[in-house]
Amino acid sequence: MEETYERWLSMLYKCQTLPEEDVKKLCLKAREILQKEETVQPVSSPCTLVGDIHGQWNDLMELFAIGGNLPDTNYVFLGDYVDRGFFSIETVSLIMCLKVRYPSRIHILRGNHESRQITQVYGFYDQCLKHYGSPNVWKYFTDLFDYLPLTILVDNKIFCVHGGLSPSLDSLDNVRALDRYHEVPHEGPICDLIWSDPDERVGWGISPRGAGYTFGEDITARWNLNNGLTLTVRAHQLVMEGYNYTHNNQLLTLFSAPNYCYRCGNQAAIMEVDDVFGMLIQQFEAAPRKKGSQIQVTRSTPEYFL
Amino acid sequence: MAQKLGTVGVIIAELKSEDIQLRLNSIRNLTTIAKSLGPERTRNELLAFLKESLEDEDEVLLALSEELGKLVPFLGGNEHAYVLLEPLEALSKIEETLVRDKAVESLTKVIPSMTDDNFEEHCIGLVKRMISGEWFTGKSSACGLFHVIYPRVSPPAQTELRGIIKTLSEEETPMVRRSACLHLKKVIPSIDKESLKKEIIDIFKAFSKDEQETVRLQSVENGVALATQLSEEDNQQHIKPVILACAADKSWRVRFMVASTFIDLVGAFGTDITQTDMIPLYIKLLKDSEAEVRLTAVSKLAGITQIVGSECVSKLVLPTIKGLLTDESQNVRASLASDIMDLAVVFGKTLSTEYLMDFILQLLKDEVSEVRHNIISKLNLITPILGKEEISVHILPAIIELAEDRQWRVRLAIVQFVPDLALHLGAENFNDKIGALCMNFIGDCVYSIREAASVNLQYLTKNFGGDWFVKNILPKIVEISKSTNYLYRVTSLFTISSLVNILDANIIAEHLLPIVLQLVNDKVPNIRLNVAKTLKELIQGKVIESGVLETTVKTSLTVMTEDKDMDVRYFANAALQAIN
Amino acid sequence: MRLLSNHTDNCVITAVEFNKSGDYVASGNEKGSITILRRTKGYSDYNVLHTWAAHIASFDVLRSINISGAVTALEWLPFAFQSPLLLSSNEKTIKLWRITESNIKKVIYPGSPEAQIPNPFDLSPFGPSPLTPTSSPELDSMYPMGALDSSPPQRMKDKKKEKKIQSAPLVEVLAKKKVEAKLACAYADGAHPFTIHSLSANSDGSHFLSADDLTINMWNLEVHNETFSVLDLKPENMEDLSEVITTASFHPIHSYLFLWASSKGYINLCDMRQSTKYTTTEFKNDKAPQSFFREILSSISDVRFSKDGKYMLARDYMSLKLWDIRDPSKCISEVNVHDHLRPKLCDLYESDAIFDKFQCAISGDAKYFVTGSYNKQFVLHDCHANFSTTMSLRDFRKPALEPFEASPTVPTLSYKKSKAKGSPAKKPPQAEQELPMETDSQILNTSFHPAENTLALALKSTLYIYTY
Repeated sequence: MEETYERWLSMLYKCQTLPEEDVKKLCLKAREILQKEETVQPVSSPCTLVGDIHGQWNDLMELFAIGGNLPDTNYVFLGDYVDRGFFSIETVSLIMCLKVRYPSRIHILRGNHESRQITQVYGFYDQCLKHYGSPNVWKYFTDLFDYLPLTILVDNKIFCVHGGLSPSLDSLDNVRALDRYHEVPHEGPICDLIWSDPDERVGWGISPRGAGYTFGEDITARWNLNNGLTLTVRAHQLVMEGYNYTHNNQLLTLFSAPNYCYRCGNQAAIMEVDDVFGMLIQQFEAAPRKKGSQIQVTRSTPEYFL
Repeated sequence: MAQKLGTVGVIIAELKSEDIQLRLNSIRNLTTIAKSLGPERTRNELLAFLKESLEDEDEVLLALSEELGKLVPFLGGNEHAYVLLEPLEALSKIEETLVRDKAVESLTKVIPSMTDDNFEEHCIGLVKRMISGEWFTGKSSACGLFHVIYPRVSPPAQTELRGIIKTLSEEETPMVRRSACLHLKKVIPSIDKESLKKEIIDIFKAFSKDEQETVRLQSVENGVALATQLSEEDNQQHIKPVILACAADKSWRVRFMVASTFIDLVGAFGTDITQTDMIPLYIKLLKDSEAEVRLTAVSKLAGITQIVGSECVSKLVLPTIKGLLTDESQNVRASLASDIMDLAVVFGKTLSTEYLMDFILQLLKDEVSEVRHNIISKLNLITPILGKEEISVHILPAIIELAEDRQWRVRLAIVQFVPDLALHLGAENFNDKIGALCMNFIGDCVYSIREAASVNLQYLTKNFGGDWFVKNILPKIVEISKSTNYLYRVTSLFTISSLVNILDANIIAEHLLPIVLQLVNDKVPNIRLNVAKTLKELIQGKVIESGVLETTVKTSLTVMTEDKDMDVRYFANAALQAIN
Repeated sequence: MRLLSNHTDNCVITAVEFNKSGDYVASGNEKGSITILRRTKGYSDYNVLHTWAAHIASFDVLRSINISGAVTALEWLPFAFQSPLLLSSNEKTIKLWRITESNIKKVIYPGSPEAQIPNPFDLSPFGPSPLTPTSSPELDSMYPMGALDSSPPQRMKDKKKEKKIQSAPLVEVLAKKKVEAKLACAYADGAHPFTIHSLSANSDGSHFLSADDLTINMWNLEVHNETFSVLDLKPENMEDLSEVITTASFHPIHSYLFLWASSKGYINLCDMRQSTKYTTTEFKNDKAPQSFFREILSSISDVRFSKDGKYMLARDYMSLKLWDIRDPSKCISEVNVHDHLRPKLCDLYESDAIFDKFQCAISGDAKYFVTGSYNKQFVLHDCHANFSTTMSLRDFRKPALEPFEASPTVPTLSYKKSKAKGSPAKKPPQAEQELPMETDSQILNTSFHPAENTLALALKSTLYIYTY
């Protein structure tokens, strides 16, 4: 099987998509692996934590150029592989293929865009339909997303989640008890983990997103303390520097899509946790733009004017 | 045989399919169809059919335009090639530009293959029909054919063609004038000098004053074509004033064209005009109000120097170049950074040291990373020219400063320059500074730079030899193999793998293998799996003595096949297989 | 006057444009459909040639905004192709259409009496060619090349040879023509962060510009995925934004000149020759009285070059102004079209009607201007006589398919004229002011025939062609 995966990987590293039949096989295999993972999946350091990618395939390559390749570097992805960017299919296929090839080197969890409902609005569905001529590939992937773990625990010290905390969950055991194998619900603890955001105000608040909650420094502090954590890491929100420590350095937001949506001008960041639990933030900018299918808006005069 | 013919039958049938993909597929196989039908039926029946098929999707017509150009060998001799003119003529009038251009391209392939029989009749007829249509498309396409027709027709027909060129050059539709102007330069070499002077120069002058700048800017290249044909006196009198006027055109795009064809202009005009007019004109273009013009002029620097000589450029042009070091446009500075390195190659050591060193050092300090990057990525061009002394005194300090650049791509460019630098300074001069530089990069926070640095070590070791390696590099590899960060320990293993075929087996056995084996029990699985990968490289490189291989190495790998991590087991098994 | 089309299920018309010969009028609506009208014979006798769905509503995933399908701009390319070329855009996407006419073919099946026509190209790979064996004679009739130029739909699907034989058709060309709008080019999305409101073709036949509130891009007609941003007003901080581009247009003759108008009341005439940072001449009237509404009222909603390129006609909320392109110091004339609204400005502001973007148009001989107003009215200004006529389409609520000549003696059209004694034109008579304001029945889109006294007006979902 490794040979098949290697062959797929060599295509995906060139930003080529897999044939529909292969995507189906890939998703079935990935499901087999993800199904066995825990809802609070334990991971050992050293590893590199990565925030939202959103189909920005070129920038994912930039990320690997900086952080290193698999299987040499271990990765933890915090969700949101698809939607917005131009290369959702290529990006999610590559990440899933890496998961299948190196299940213990890369760990991935579920973001709010890993859902049927959101992907129909923000691009992944349309890209699948346009590229494959049918929504089958979209269905394979979104069915697979139901099996993604919701949280990851690095060395019992760093808690990783896509969005944030939930008023319905007081302990990691509460999270472990969740039945996660279905579409992200509109409310409730699973929805909160995937949708919530930190806030400057203390306590729980209503989220402007219409899903999840906002939570204050007191909530983070209590969560970390009660569960013996040193840090909670989450993604989900654009931060201009690519990373942002809040809640008295007990909460870190990581965002790994530089120049988000090809226009936000933000830096991206990843965090390398080394063998002795040292943590290094690496910032990076968007990959130099290559000519391609997307529009070039230039301030210097293009050749065709000459 | 039947199968094959059946296939052709299907292809023919699909020429009339409703499915555009099937039609396209058939058209793409037109030569196969022609081959199976034979020349006579291809000429009489297939072409007759194709002529009736010109109402189709642009995609199909584009393919048809291309394939028709390939049919000449299937018509039963070049004397029949003319039959392709008619369908291609129709296609060259189609509204879609891509189709038209492709049809013209095919015509320029078909026409030269035609025999002399009735050549003139066919071709002149073709041109006349094309220019007589109601729409501009045929006229525009006809302009692209003169250069293949003109040389092969009689003088009266040539006169007629020149008349047609003149008519088209005065057409109302700017697209036709543009096409006429664009293609004029191709036919100029075939026209006799007398006619050039009497007729074509006037057309050229009119083009250079056209109200549309898209026409005017094309006229500069015609100036080059004319100047190449005419005497220096004619150039002095007719061509030069037009070029000077173009260089002073209100439209920057016309001035840009002068800058971008400058080397050809200088070549065509010859020494005298170049000295008196072209060099001053060049300096003027370097100071143009538009950055695109300055940038393009700068890019011609090395090429012009090759023609007019270093002496002339260093005296007359460099003072202006100096002003561009602080040009307000970063694109101009970035281009200058790259071009100045090419110029140094032409200048040679003495002139480069005297004139260019300061420029280079100033650009290395530019605030824009692209400017710095462009200098660094071409430093390898000038190291052989400048020599050790100049490099260590001037370039090296600047490089060391930039090694800390926050842009990792600038650092990467420096890493890639290090081998050149080191080789030119020599192993004995591989001093603290460069050594430290190399080693810093091995410990860079960016993976790609660590990787490039490790490739560098391979390159340097190859050139400087094993002893140099043991003395200068080995200690650093030992050091990083004990780093607390697994990413650096991995780098030490990469480096060792890359040296397998470079170092003598005894050095590897004595110094490197112990480092690898020491990492066998590393607590991080990524290290263990890379130990297995490295051992595989060493095994395949046949650098491990069989005794050690059978005992220590095999034992270690066997232990690893029982590792709790599946990837370690996978790579250990792969390495074991390499032994067997 | 003639009511031409009520063609699109009561969809509001959002763009109207005559082509450069005047033979075609294009109109686009809020749902993204475009309708082409073509002159058949005589004045203002335009018939619907073709309607198609050119743009559809979508969702911009990069910006999380809904994109309406509404056609925001139309522009015919200036040169005479056999098939006219039309640029259209909605908020974000620009498309180039080729309006083609082709023969409709009638398929005749074997067995019918018509099928006995001798086949002039009896071609098959298995006929008399020496290459081909004679063992498959049936194939001769299988591929009659004469039938190659079209096929009925059932033919292609059917892989069985026998059926092919039976259904191999012959084709007859019918006199009726089939009109199609073929997508010649779809320019890549993403070049415009805001709503595209202007398209303008360059006189060189190769380029065009597109403009939104803050940017102007230059395109090559043949290059769909690259564009050159010539103007970007976007400030570092969007809170510093103080003006927007309201319209942009190329000069009809000089390919290096383009204009853009600003919400602050300027027209900028830009010369692209000197450098990529083109030089700009600014045209601005500073006579407007100080008031709360001053800036809103001075915002220019449309500017049109005259056909000869010597003049620019600008529309702001209250007036039309004509400029000589050589004289930025003052406008040549000013026609007040909305003076009667002055007392109602507060109400118009409350209802946002004050932000309505009225277009204007200038006749081919630069003698007449036209612009729309409220209450189904439009103003036709004769600038030689300095004489404005306000006319209403009110009596044309029901389709009036009879051609209608509007002249002062035709009583059925509720028009009103006022002899101007110097500019501005006199206030309209009292009676007109008494009418209740209908701010939902404004005529925003207007276009002039390039050579004749014919103009096109859009009111809600109806397009009127009017000849005076």
